[in-house]
Amino acid sequence: MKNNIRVERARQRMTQQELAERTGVSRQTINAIEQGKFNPSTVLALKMSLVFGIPVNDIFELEDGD
Amino acid sequence: MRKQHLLPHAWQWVGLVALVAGLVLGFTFFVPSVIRGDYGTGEGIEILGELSYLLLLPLSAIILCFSRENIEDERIDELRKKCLVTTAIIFVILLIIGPLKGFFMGRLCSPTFMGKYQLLFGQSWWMLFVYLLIFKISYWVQNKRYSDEK
Repeated sequence: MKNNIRVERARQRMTQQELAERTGVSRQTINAIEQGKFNPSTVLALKMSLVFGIPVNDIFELEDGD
Repeated sequence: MRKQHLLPHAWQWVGLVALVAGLVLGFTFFVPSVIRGDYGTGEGIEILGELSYLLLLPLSAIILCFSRENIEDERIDELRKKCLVTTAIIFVILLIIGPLKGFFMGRLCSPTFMGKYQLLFGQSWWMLFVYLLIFKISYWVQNKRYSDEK
């Protein structure tokens, strides 16, 4: 699964730490998601969507192998 | 594993104190007594050794295994599950090779050595320490890997 978290963060001038605090996870978890090493739960994905103010589909997208 | 089923993070200090006390008492009283072969004969201070081996060490293992980390989120939740599965696989492998090990050790070692080995390493709660070791190493490696902000 691909994600645009880093792009959205940059667009909103938000650090990983700020995003982590607003979604209730650790900064390392945000980093792991950005690197595509960890797939977040639906709840966390929806929280990110709320923080960024955009639909979940605009943050996460399925790849061919998924 | 849901985080509400875990003890608070501060309990890790209680677990560490129990672990250190258990190790000190164990290596002072229990292990030398088992190696000398006078454990169970009523000689020496057995109660302190038993306290360490039957109470403090298993208790510390339970507390350390089931207390929360600093930040317990879903990544750590998943890591715990993976480590539990790995530990369960190791446990099953040990169960399967157990009779084989007993067969060969029975022929290669004396019954006295077998008894001592069983007393020291035959406790099932050792698996909690195996889980703890796997989890702590994985936790440290993951946190180190994901600590650099790019």
